[in-house]
Amino acid sequence: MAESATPPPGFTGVYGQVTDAQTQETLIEATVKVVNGGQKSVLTDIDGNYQLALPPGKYDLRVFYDVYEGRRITGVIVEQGKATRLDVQLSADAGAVQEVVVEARADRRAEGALLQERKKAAAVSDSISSQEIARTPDSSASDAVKRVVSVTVVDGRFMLLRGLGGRYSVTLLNGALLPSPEPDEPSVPLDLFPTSLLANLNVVKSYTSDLPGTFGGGTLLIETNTYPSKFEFKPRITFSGDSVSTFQQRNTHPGSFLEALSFAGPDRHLPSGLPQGERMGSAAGTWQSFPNIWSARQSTALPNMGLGASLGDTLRFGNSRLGYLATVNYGHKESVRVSEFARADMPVGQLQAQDATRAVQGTEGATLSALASVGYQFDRDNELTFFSLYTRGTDSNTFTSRGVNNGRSETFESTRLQFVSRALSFNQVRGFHRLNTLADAELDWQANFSRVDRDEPDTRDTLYSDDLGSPTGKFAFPNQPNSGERFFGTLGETSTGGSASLTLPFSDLRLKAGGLAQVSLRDFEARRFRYQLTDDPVDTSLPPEELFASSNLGTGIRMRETTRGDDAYDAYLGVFAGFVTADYKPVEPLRLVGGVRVEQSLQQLTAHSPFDTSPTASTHASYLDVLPAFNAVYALRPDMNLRAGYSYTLARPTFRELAPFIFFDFVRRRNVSGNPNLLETRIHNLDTRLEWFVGENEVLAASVFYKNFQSPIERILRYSGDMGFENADGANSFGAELEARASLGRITPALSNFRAAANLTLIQSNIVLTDPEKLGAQTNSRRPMQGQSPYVINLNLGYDRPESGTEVAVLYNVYGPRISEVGLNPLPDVYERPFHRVDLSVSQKLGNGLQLKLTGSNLLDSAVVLDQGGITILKYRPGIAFSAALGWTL
Amino acid sequence: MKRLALGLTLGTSLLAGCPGPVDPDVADDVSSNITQNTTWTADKVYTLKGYIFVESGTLTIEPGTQVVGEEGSALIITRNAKLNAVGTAARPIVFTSAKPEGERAAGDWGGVVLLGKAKINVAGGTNTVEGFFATSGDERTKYGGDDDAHDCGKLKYARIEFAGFELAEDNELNGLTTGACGSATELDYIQVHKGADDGVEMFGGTANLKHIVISQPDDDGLDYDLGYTGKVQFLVVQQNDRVGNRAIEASGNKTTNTATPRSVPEIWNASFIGSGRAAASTGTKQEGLVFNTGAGIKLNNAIVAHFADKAVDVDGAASAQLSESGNLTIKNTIFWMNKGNTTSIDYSSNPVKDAAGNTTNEDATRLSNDTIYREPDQLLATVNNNRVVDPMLSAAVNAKTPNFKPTAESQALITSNSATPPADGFFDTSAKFIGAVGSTDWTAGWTGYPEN
Repeated sequence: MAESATPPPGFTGVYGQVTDAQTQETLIEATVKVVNGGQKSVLTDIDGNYQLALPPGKYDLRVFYDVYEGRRITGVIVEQGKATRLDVQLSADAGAVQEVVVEARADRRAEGALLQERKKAAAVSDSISSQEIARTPDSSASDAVKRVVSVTVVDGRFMLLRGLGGRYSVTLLNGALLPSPEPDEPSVPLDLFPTSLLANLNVVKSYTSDLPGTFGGGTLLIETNTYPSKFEFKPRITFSGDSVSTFQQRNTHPGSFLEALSFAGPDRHLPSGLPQGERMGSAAGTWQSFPNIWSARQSTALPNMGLGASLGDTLRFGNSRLGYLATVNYGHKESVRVSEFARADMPVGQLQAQDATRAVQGTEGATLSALASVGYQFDRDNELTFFSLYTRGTDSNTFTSRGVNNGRSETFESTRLQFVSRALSFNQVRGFHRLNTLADAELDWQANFSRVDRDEPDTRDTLYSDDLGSPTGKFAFPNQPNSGERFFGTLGETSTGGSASLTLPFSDLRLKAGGLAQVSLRDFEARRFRYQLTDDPVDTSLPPEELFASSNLGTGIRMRETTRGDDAYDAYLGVFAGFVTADYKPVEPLRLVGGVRVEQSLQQLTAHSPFDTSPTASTHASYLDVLPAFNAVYALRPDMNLRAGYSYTLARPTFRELAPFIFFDFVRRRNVSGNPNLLETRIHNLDTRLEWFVGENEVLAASVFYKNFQSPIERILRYSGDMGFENADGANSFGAELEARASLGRITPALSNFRAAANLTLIQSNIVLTDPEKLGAQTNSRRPMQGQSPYVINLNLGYDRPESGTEVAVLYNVYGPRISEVGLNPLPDVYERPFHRVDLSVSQKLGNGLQLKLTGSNLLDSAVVLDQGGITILKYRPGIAFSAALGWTL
Repeated sequence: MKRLALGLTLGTSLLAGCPGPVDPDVADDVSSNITQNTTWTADKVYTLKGYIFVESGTLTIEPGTQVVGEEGSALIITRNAKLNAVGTAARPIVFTSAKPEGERAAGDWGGVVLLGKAKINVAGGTNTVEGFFATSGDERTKYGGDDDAHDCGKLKYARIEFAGFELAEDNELNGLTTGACGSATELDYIQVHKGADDGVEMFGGTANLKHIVISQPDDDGLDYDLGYTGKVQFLVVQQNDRVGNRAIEASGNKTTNTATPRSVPEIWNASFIGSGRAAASTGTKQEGLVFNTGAGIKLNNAIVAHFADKAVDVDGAASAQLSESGNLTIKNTIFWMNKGNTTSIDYSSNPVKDAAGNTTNEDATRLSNDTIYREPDQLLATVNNNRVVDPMLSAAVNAKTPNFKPTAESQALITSNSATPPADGFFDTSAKFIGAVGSTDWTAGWTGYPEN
């Protein structure tokens, strides 16, 4: 029986209509429930109307419906003899057509929902939805995240927030800390995550105590897909290429066919006859058991290919529901990079370029990833989700370089054959329970187990040289390091832990308390071998396959194991934390969120020889930190918020930065090593922000922030030319951000299919180096922080014509010049020049569930340039990239 | 009595350069760092199991003591400690490889490192010694300071064999490495045999060297850098025909060549001997004296002979322009048979190229008036009293049983060809001859030239 739209006179309670936010259609049998003061609830009628009689008071209501996002409306006032009207719109975007199993949380895939969420969020955040991601040429999370305010992506893989280094950007996958499979980089390479896996990316830029204490620029929250409401199978094929690689000559070297499937071939591994646990020794038979492949070969780079499919459904069993989503992706990529490198020095008063070198890198990469997520909703109040991600990738790199070593008065030709395989397995169980007591308290918990492996078997380096001043025309083996060397490195890291939090949603006060425990263990081991001349004559101009042939091993050439005493390390990180937050509304427009987190951490690292566990260096850092956070949100108008926040947070050195292990950077021709004495960084953060949610999917926002760093970790060049890590005394960073997203229909209705977004970040930072020991040979005691850009700009223009299924987007991104390496002795700092990037994406629906997407990236063909006082230290062009993707929905 | 007999046996076997199997009764493994005064005695063989840092105190090593290094080991005297290793001509102290005779090779272990607090020309005044990972927090590998009179200790009548460790390109431990050792340091009667990377490398500082034999190094003989300004007298560098690059590699400061102090040591009575092989048709050159990145020299009474590819290369404007202030001078010196040249020395050009391989400057080694510094024109000018003549050394290029003494009729012994070393208390003013060895062979008795 239909309720009339308006309640009778004298009715005391709440009434209204529940509609679909997108279509404005009314929703039948949606539930409207009181969550405090009694457990009363009603269903909407066939016109979407409801009436709920309630005694006078203040109520929190929840409104939910099967395939929509549930909403909670707090502080509804009921007065005696008055009917309070409350119309509710559910789900922001029907285009997503995804059922929300997790009723209590929004389906964050849709852009509108994200803006809603952001409006409600306690802290400053910026987000990007799967809908928005789909509109861009982005193929991985690293591409997609660039669209967020103040985000910069380095090397196409690593995220920098507010222009700060990777260490200040934490990634949480479904609420759990993700380990990095890259030991040399402090942050998670985001190209691990194909965009089809992403429900949304949310960048939190002001800290709240329920997040891990390691927070600097911000925390990236990656949420993976929820489940389709009906059966869905989506295969997809992509072809891509770029102007510097595809159909061009590419360096390569022989490997197994397994490598195209992302597995290492059997010939890469240490020969089985080699003694484990002790040095190789001097048996020529052992020396001869290594594969004798050293030289680069040539092939033609083929276009890249990607194959993927996703499968999902939601099954109903009475009140229970089971949702699943599985995706499999395979990618194969071939690329070429030509870099020019030089070193700056000052002979007599003026900088000059020395050691000019051209390096060519050919890469063949394969990735294989699989994700499975299964959620079971017992009833509206209890849900369990299993999530498992496995991703692996291989890179077969072949470097050649030719150049000058002025110090040695030589020209050289060198080659590196390198193969790297990476695998990340992440498994998580999550639970959500509404307890139906304590004002519908919510319990969230998750437990996770992850394993990361990185294997670099048999990296081979050769360098042949000739005299610079009076060349003989023939290059010869010089019997020096980095020539005739083999390197084997394996890394494994296991991390396990869990967290739980309890939320008590009282009407004016929302309390949340929780805890976390996470323990990570890492093992790393490397072995090195070198070929050397003996006293027996041998023709050193022979190519390496002949010079190092079995017949010469033991006569003119000997092998030596050059593994170092710090070529292995064991590391442990344990983090145990507890937090309490309170979200309080003292008066209607004002919301105060405060909390404190207590985080205890123990970080240990022991370096040793692979043959001996006695430590050659070690670190044992134990910290107990109390981390307060306060945020205030003042609603100037229902659609306008003013926010301010303060927090005290941390940044820890990574294992790689602590490990004294040394490796050789082939392109830059220098060594990189860690520092066991690094300290934890502590950060005071201040943020204010004004945001105006102008209309649906439209926002204007302005922020100002200040950060004070104590003992920030920086990448420092040493006199030797090698790179290391040091704590500076301190640093300050001031910034402002502006953001606008709007439909151009505001200007004239003719443009209503167009939407524009722009964001700009301005940052001023300075490092404090008063301690002469820390300043060392550095040239400037006052300069910007290493890696900090003074500005980041993103512009985005989109065209969307739903009736023909056409979407077009043009995107522009640039970051300001930032210090790549700190100059010393007393050369200027090395700056990375701005990189202007323009991308275009066109997507067209073809009918029958087919969709074609064409993209072009870096259309300006910009170059990456490092500059030191006018000398170009490094330059390469990533090239203009194109892709075509065809997807079906079956 | 037994102990004495053992000592004698050991002494004898050491002189033969033959450690033989180590008797467990005399073996002493050294695997932890030294933090107090310690004495190593001749009745034991000390095996270095890893990097051994003498963090504080003095390490005394008695005459005749043998110290052997395993792979990946080295003995490092930090700048807060001292070495007191004084052997005798009859009972030298021997640092050698732990491998059995016949299997030893350059680079078997890391060598001896002495670190001090004298001046170096790196901004900030301190540096981390090559061959180690570099961090600001590790005091043990640091060197440099303001004390030019710093005392790293004494190393006398000692041989260092098969040592050196190449961590990476341009980052090596050498047979003997000093960093910022000051003038109170005593380094006398030292042989570094078959050292990798270089025989002796002096990173800045003012330590003096006397009676030094560097035989058959893997790379350079004497390498000095970062503002080394010591005095050197009686120096032999001998290369073999297989490996070895430069007899002297002199470097200043590789980023800012004019950083002070400049690397300008004063060297008297030195013999730099190549292998006499034919000029290289490929690959690494065998060169005499190379000065780059702003380094100079004040060299007198020297022999530069039998280098396959080059006698002298002044590389770069900063070094060339030191010749204008008298800080790159080579005088009273005999050149002979360098790249087969018996009438002159060859010009060595230092072109600059871009990444495409195109030459952008035919020769960067230019004087302040922009003219190219040409080695034969500059060094064979009459004022320098240098000559190209056969020094007639007894058996200088012999790798197994060399003899660096000139024969009686050698021009090296003609007094008017040489100059008198200054009477400053360090130099032996009686050395009025050219080359390291005059009529008395100071290398006899305590040196050795084992092949492996």
